[in-house]
Amino acid sequence: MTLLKREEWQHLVRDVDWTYSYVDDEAVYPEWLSGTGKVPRAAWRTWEEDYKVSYPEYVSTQREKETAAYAVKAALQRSNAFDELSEGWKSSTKMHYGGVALVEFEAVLGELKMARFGLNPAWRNMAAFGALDEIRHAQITMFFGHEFVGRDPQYDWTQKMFHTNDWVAISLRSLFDSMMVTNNVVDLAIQLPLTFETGFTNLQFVALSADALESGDVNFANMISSIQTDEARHAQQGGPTLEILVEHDPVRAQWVIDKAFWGSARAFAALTGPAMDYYTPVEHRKQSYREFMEEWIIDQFIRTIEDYGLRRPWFWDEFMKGLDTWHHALHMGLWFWRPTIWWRPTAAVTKADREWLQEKYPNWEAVYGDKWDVIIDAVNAGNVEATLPETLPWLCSLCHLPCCNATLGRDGRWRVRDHSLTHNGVTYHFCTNGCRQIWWKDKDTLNSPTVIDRFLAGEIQPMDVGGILNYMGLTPDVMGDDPDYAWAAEYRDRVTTTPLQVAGGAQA
Amino acid sequence: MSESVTDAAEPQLVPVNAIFHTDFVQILVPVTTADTIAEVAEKVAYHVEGRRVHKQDAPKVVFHGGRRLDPRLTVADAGIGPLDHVRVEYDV
Amino acid sequence: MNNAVGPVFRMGDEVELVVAAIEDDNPDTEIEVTDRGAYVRVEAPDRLRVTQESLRRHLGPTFEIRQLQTMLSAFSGRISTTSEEIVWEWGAGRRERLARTGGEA
Repeated sequence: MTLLKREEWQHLVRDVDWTYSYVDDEAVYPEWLSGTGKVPRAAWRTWEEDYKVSYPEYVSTQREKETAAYAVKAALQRSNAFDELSEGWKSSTKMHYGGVALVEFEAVLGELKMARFGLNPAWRNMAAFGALDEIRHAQITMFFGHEFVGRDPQYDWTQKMFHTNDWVAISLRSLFDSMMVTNNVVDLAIQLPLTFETGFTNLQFVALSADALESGDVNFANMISSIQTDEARHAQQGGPTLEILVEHDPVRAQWVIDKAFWGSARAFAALTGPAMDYYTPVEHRKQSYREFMEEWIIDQFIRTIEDYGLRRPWFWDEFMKGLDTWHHALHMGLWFWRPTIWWRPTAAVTKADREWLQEKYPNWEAVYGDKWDVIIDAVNAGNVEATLPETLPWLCSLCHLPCCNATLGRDGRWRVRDHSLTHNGVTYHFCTNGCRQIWWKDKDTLNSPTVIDRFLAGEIQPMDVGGILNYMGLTPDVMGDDPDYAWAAEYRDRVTTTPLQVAGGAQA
Repeated sequence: MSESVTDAAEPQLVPVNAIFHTDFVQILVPVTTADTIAEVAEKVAYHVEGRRVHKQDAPKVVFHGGRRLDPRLTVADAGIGPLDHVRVEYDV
Repeated sequence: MNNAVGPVFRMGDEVELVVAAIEDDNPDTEIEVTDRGAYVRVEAPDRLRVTQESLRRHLGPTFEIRQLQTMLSAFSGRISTTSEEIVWEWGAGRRERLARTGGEA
């Protein structure tokens, strides 16, 4: 039987729309959800997706993807593949499962919102597939993570993490709520599919699969890269939406992209950065985080938005400089505050690691080496207490990550600098100028107190480390610790001296 | 109201955002209005020296709002308020 | 490479065959293939296409072009998909082409 080609019939079913007789357009597509703004309602008629798919094609293709992913899982379940993975790599997967599983579910809600309130039937049609995709992602992530719960209770945070008040959960909820839940669908299509899914998710789902495979985790590599084949399709809702918005309101288009890019860059520095440059064993690192960012984000993203007639974001210089610092500092923070996370972060600062880091990031020793040396000496002296926190790191009022970004001053010194502002008599601190600027413009719609705010308001009791860990939902069986501190051993004979302060702040 | 009857001599808690020398992160440090600036420096240093920054045999100095503070002043005298940023450096 | 566009395929047994099909469909085009183990990036300047006909020649007569989606983890440039071919190209190039052909994709 010869079937009609998709392009011979698809427009007929896809473009079904209604003519209202009892209500007006605003009742069906209210501004606060549909968000047409300055774009004339009729302009959305030209919305056309690039990556076309029909329902029969969708069902056949998704079935094949699922069959393949579960076949690999079933085959490996009977092997000892999991036991042979390094603790460092396992941490990358625990972080992924906890950090991603319910964000996928949140994305179901975002796609459903576009499937209902999108301003063109083709868009709504594509978003309906997007919602089915995201249901698959939430389920497959939860199911794959669940397999390991019996072997290691930290995998239980696959499902639990997003429901806790762990600072990572608060940070991710704050980012993704603004990207998928509290915004209108025009902003959503540009923030989630375009900025996040055609840009950043490639880093965590495709680039990281290269490290996963090198580390021997075929199952994980297979799962994440399979997920991303769905993203590659439904992410294409962003382009046509952006094309129309740029024509009628380029200022809004630029702002929406800029802030989604910034928020994503901060979150990925915290999660993907340490996974790639520290948790993946050095001999298995395919490229550095910076190199993967250059391959997947920097050139491609800028060329894409320029192709749509927009400019590089205003914070570009600060972002580019941060590629050499943000994730290194966040790794140190995750390690030092390790009881607050649900994986076992290896410090990964052996001599081989440091050689690699210094080669990839020529300022690494100057900015971070001295601090790791102090930690190494404490570990080798048996003084592990000195490597554990007795207070909180200050958390940024926008991204909720620690304020830990050193910059090089005109005096040649690397220092973490104050980025604060006072509004209505309250002082807010930020990790960067970028976060401060976005907070200032969006302050009337933000309502997400940091763990510091909650602590100082007396919401966390008792007001000590135990109270904080309890508030975050961490129990002793799950609480993060270094897997074995073995990386410090080769420094045991290190001569520890107080470094001399020389002119310019460099240490000799 | 309770604040109007508070004894002026009763120290009040002042949580500050602090950075110590070359440390990699700003931290929360609770000080009080009665602490001297020298005591503030030590309270900040407690969380960092020998933990992430080599202890140096040098006096410490506190900066607040772009000013270098006299170590003999109290937090109240120096005008350090809750949530203010302070920087502690070795005075070398 | 300037204006590099093209697909990124996830790991799989058929990637080399797909790359061969792409090479057939883009004669006289400088195609760069980067193999990172778990993924393979295929790039060409400005425009790259792959047809069902070539895919069937390399992957078997029952291969349907939609099945390429199971391998396609990402791509750069803008995509157009029909029952006969998939094209990746830059927006500017596509706008010119659409103007030339009167809007036929």
